[in-house]
Amino acid sequence: MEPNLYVKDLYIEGFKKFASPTHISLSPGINVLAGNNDSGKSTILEALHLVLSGTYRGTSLNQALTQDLFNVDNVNCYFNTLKCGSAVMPPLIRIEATFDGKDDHQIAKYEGDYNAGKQKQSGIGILIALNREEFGSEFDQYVKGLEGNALPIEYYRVKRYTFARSGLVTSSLKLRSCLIDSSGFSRTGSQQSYISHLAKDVLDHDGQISVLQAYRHSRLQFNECNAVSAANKVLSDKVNSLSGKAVSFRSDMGNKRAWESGVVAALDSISFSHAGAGSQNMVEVELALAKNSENGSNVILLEEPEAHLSHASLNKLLNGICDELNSQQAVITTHSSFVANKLYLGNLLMVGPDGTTTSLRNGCTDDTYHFFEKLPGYSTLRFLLCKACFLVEGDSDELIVQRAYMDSHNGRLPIQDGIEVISVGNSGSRFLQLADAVSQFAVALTDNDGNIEARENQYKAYSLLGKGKPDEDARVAVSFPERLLNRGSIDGYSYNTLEPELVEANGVDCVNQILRKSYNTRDNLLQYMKSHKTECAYEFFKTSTEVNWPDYITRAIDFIDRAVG
Amino acid sequence: MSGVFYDAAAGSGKTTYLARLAVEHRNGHVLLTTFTDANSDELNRVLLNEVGSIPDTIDVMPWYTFLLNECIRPFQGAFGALANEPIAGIDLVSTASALRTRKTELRHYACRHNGDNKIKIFSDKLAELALYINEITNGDVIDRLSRLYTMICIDEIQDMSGYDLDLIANMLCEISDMRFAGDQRQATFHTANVAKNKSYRKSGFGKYIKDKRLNCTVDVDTLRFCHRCPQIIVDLADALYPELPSTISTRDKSEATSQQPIKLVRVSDVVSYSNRYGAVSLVYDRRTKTPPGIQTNNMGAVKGLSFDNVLLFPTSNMRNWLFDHSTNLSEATKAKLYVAVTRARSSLAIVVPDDFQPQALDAWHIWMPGDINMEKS
Repeated sequence: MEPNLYVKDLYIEGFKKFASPTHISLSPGINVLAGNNDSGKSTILEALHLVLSGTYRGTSLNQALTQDLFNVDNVNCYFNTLKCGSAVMPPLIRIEATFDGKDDHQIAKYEGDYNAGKQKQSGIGILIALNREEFGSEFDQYVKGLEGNALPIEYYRVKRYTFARSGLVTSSLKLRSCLIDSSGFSRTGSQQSYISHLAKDVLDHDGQISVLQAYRHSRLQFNECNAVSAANKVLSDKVNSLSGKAVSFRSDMGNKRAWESGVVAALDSISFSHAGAGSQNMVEVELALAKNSENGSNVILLEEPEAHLSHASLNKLLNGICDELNSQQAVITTHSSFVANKLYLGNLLMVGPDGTTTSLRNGCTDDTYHFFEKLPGYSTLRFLLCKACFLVEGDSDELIVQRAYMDSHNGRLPIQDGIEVISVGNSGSRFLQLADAVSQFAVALTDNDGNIEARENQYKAYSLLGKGKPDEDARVAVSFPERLLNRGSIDGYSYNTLEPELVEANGVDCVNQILRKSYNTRDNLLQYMKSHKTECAYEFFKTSTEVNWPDYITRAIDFIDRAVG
Repeated sequence: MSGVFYDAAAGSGKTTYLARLAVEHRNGHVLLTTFTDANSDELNRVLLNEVGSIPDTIDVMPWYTFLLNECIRPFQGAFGALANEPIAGIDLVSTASALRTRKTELRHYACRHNGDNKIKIFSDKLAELALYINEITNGDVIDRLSRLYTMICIDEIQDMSGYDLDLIANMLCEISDMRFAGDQRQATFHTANVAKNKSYRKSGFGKYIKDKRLNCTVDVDTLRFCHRCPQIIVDLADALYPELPSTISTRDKSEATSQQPIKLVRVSDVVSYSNRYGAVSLVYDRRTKTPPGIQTNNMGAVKGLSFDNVLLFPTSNMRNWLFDHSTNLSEATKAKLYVAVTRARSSLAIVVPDDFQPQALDAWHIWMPGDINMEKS
């Protein structure tokens, strides 16, 4: 269901790590942001919250304005250019949110060509720039006499605007942002009023008024007051499905400020701030989901929901988000493959090291995304975020490939070079689809199952290593043994798997030495290896004996070397 | 995509009628606009009266504000000279601005203010600029309006002139529902003093609709009843426009009036009359001579307002007409007199010179201080 109003595009310029103008396309429903540390995921959430609410970490930007918000390179470049004697525009920050949705009136209200792209769009923006009208000459004087690279932000002005060139009134904006930072990073002393604020938004207008009046009327009798009981009932009716705990208001007797700061939320009668971090998260998300929608749509911004939550709680929370988001928009950052898989990989936005985003929306078939949604345990984010990846079937392959890699890379593990080795069982082709969708470097290692032609057919969409001349530009490849090995006499044993390949490449004696065994025939040795697969692979991993690695493994390593080279 | 023009009589409650239409229009957003700030305030006041608060589905704004904020600013970027500079406001002009300039030039529409060098749009060019931007954006301006508002109501439509009319004609093609209310007889102001569409200043919006074959019906019935003035005052006002349909007062004829609805007051009795009845004095303009201590209002500026007792200071031309309807009056004078006469809820007192000699046939009596006979109490 399309929301009445949602952010379809976020534009960031000069804010934190986003030096040059960057566009991030968002979908109406759930958006999952994944990326390595310092890729800018949290900055994207902050930017979105900033443009929609005008606040940064809980305070109005006018008071929270610091040089730290400006891109460091932009600031340095500005001062360096100045020192060379050239005139140059002081650095600025511009963030714009472009709207879409089914509320024609609201879309039209914010529509105009006053935006960075100078195009007809609907949206709002925030500009943090030198207030040249008032301070232009003072600023120039200040900058002239300057030694360090400190930006005099007191000469800056924060301007919020609509694309229709009108000033922005936050209270009339029918799209509210609701930032939930479960990492606790940006939690400050205002946290309590923040949670009260959230709770207040769940109530309708009349409900809010009656609570306010009751608080004024008698703070001492606040707890017993009917209106609060009614509000508490609304709260507990609306908000109890996920945490199973009743949320209620109670009077904060020690505080003389207005009710928003005087009231704290409580979980099962334990003051919110003293409840466990996990419960706090759950309730914050629930409150955001239950927000009264009479005043418009919400954008829920959720940072790393996996923090503080047990696997079971996280599962509950994610199900809650999927079921109760209705026609709201959510932007969620995560490092957890479980979260990304559960929230549907088609909703994933990968944030690259330069802040650019890649959407998986149209990358794979729905079937593949549903597969990972139903089997959320797969390490999809590890796969998508690494430089390059070996896809193997099981633990023993994983150990062998790692050791083979170390042998040709001065003892370095693949992960030390940003390269992952991931066991994917029989789901290799699902991962290859993903790799194709985002142009990830990946090579799948598999056996040939005694039928080379069948394997070639199965993977004909990808580059087959060892088959003729390898495709120089290929990003996704498959490697399997190109020969059939002699069958022995073990019943029902496939002689075209890892262990027979290792024996073939090194001979029975050498393998006996590595495994510290003394089997006299190949079949006896293979029989042992068959029933001790992981232990044998582990011996190979540890061995000081020089090992010849099967061709299909060295070809895969060569491919990855070329890819990241 | 269609409109209705309510040809209204003075005192017919057209402002209230439009406000009610806006309130009843529940599934959408309504713009209520009118030319003067005073009328716009009146629209707000009526809304507050009707529903207790301004619903957030209704925007009330004066016409110039609407033109600047909702028609020009959103897409001013398409007009090269305005692409990178904000418009500071409106330059109110009383005569045609920037003659002999082309419609593609900024100086045709705007000037730079001497003090701060900021761009201000000439008040008579707002609608023309809106139309020009709509033209160069291939209709983006009106398209946006059609999604912003499902209904647009314009009060005092008779004040619209020049390019305002053409802009309204364009809007009629795209906005789903437009309603206009006005009384041609009360055309005391004009949005712009330009040659464009000048003939309709006299002939009115109804004629414009007809000539341009606009998809807008003319409703002469709904608002032809005057709820404010007694019939005898309505008849006097109607006599200014014998060619237009007559107005019917809904005031009960048997209503016990404490005094004659129309009477004459000598200049030297003005102060005592004014004190006795708390009458509101209406003058042509501030040059009109009035006894010291009398607070006055200009006839042209009291449109939409009601007073129990009106004390009218006619110009000599107006006085001639009052006693002899064959006297010729200019359109502007007629309009002002019409407005002045139709403000009165109970009585209209016409100021005459002390040496005024009433004719035998005059139905109107001269008020005497302490004249008990005239007060039927």
